[in-house]
Amino acid sequence: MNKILEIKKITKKYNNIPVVNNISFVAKPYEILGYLGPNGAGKTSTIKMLSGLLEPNSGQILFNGSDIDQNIFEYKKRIGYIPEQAELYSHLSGKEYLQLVGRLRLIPEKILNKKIDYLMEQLVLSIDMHLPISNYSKGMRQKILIVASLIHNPDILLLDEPLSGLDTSTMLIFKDILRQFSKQGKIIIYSSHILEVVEKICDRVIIIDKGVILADNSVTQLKDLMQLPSLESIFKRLVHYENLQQIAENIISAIKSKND
Amino acid sequence: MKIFKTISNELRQFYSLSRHFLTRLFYNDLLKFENQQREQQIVLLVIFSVSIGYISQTILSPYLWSKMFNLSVSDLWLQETLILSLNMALIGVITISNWDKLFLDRMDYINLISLPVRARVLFIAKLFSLLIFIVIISTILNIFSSLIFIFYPGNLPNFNAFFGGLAHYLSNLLGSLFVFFAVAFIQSLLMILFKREIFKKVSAFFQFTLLLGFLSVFVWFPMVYKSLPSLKDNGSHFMDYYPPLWFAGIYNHMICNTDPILERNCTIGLIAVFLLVALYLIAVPISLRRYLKNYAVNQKRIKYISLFKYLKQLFQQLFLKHPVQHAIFMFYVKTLKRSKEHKLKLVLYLAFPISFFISRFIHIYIKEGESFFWSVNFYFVSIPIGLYFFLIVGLRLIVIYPIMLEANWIFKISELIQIKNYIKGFKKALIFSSVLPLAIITYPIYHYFWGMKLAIYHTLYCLFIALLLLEVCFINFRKLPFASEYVSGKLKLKYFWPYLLLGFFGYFFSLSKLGVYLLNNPHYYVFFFSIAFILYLGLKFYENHKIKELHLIYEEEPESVMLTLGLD
Repeated sequence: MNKILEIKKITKKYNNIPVVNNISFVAKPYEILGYLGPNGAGKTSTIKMLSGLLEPNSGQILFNGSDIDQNIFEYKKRIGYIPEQAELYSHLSGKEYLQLVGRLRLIPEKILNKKIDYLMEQLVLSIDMHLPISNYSKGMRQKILIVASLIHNPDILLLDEPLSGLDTSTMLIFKDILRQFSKQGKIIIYSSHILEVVEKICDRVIIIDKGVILADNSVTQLKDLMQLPSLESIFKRLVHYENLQQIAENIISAIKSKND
Repeated sequence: MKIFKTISNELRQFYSLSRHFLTRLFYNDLLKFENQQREQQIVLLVIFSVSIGYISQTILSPYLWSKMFNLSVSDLWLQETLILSLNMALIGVITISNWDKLFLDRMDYINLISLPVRARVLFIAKLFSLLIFIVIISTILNIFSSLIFIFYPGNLPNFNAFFGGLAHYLSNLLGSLFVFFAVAFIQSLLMILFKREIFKKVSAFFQFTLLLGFLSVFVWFPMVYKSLPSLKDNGSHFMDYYPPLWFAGIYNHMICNTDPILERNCTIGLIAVFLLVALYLIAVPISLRRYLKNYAVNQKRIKYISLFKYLKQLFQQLFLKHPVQHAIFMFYVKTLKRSKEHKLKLVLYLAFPISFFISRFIHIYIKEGESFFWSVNFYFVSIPIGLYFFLIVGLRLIVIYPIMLEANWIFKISELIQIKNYIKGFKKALIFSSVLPLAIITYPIYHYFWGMKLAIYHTLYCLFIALLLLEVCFINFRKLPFASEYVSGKLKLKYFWPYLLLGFFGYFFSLSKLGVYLLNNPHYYVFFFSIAFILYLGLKFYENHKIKELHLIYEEEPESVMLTLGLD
């Protein structure tokens, strides 16, 4: 089956202001798609629409040629989602939260508990798995989110800043997981500000600003087309971030003047 | 110069911290989910204040014709005791609702300890904010009653109206301080005595017991009120051990009335207040040090007893085979167990009926003796019927308040097309965690008094009523417990409360009378159980049919009247 996620002219408005403005792109299997943009560009809104948590004002999202609205529940079964700044039920322990997620995903109990115990051991969370999430550090919570998004073996991964708060070793493990998932034919959309990571692991990038797509190509081809050495310089050029040094100098002088 | 600068900085910090702590005290856990919480608090306080004023007006109105009723200054202590009892009980309830903010808690510690603030400034600011809080609340509650206490006994000879009002205000303020610091001291003591994890569990129990105690005053004290003069004349120990009477003694002293018993109470009252504040000041640093030391300790892994683990697995296989039912069941149980706000609300709903039944029990026991309970009687039959009503209605009102609403995305993203398993899991949780335990608690009592046969019949009778009530209360309920947005005004209680009250009385009296009838004619139980079973099946069938095509509700629009009034 040709698993393709197609986004066709979707628009999302808040108070009549479009945060996502008539964008279209395709996410294919065997490919990690990077989704970049500055703050307020519309990245999170796009990811939320793809996850079914937000409804677009117009446009369509198609999976395997069918509108996801027509069978949203079947579509949701196939997605794994890591939100940016996700809230977790902090009164539950890590294990209890994952059990909640696994049961909601209809994973049989015996398999679920084995999976949870094994995954938590691999991510060095076994000791803390009975502690309430309120006691967890940011990195530990992120690990719980990662396990929660992958535990049901989804076909589509929607990741919004998934590496936030993780230690180096876990980041490396997670990057490897993504590469292996991609080889298995899963669709992966990776939204982030961290250009170095996106450049390393993504096969293709979409750069979005003010709700509009500015670029949609592989990193290599973008560098060739724009004659720029890195994704960072491409990003700066497209998003007009070329006076950053001046902005930094202005901030420092403002801080100094307050304390004099 | 350096000392002056330090003092000036510390004063500024003291002012900021006091304001911060005071603001937190006015953020009430009982009203946490309500819109316009501040306005709601003001409305509630005004209602209480007017109620106390109205009661004062009622009990003091004979003083407008004091000569006709042969009343004098020496009688005022009685009315003052009633107002003090109500006032101190209210303060107790308000204090319990601020249990987590009575001393420097985790949030204070994390946010403030890294800042350049001395410990003494923190403590003084906290104590000052607590004092100001209680003065404000006490003043609001007693503003109307103080006016009544100025003007109504004004005709009495040897009575200075202004001092009379001031005496009333001050005695109630001291009574409020006593209750407030008594609860705060109990909390500090528990922190000193118990490790952090045990304190959490014990703390909830003490909160419940104290809340029950304070609310029961509204039920039993009006019964005792009329007997107070004779208790005083007979030198009863009740006069020494009932705290509002100490502060009635202070009032009596301030209006220059001499009475040896009340003078003694006055001394006890003053000592009690200052002693409690002093004990609180000693206990807080010790408990804080212990609390913070225990804070970073890792929880040890709970080792399940094998039998318990086996029973748990058996229960899951019998009743929670479907994973979604299992998920919702565990989520409900764990959230209700661990959420202080929800437990506090549930306790508040249950405290009134429990105190009512306990007070009635004591009253009947004193009047009729133990023999009354050996026979089938209305009071004894009605207890579980009344308790089930408040329990189930209370749960219905509590589950609509969310815990960490932003975290409900996990339910939205994994929602299935058929919602029946979510609803089933939730109802199973209600039955196994609330309905069945109450039946298990009440059965042994009936077994002791009436024997096994009647005890089983009546327990099953009450259980069937509870199951039907549960179905009725949760009919068309398509929300996940604690995971949907709370919108005030949806239940339209402000309009429907008379009908609900009538409904309760109809339910309570008719089913209690039916219970008595069936116990005296047990051969009719088969008809009752058959009809109840058919009704239950009918309700289940209706619900399954209704929710087939529907989805779960996470957000709701406010009622149109709330929008119009800007209260959404």
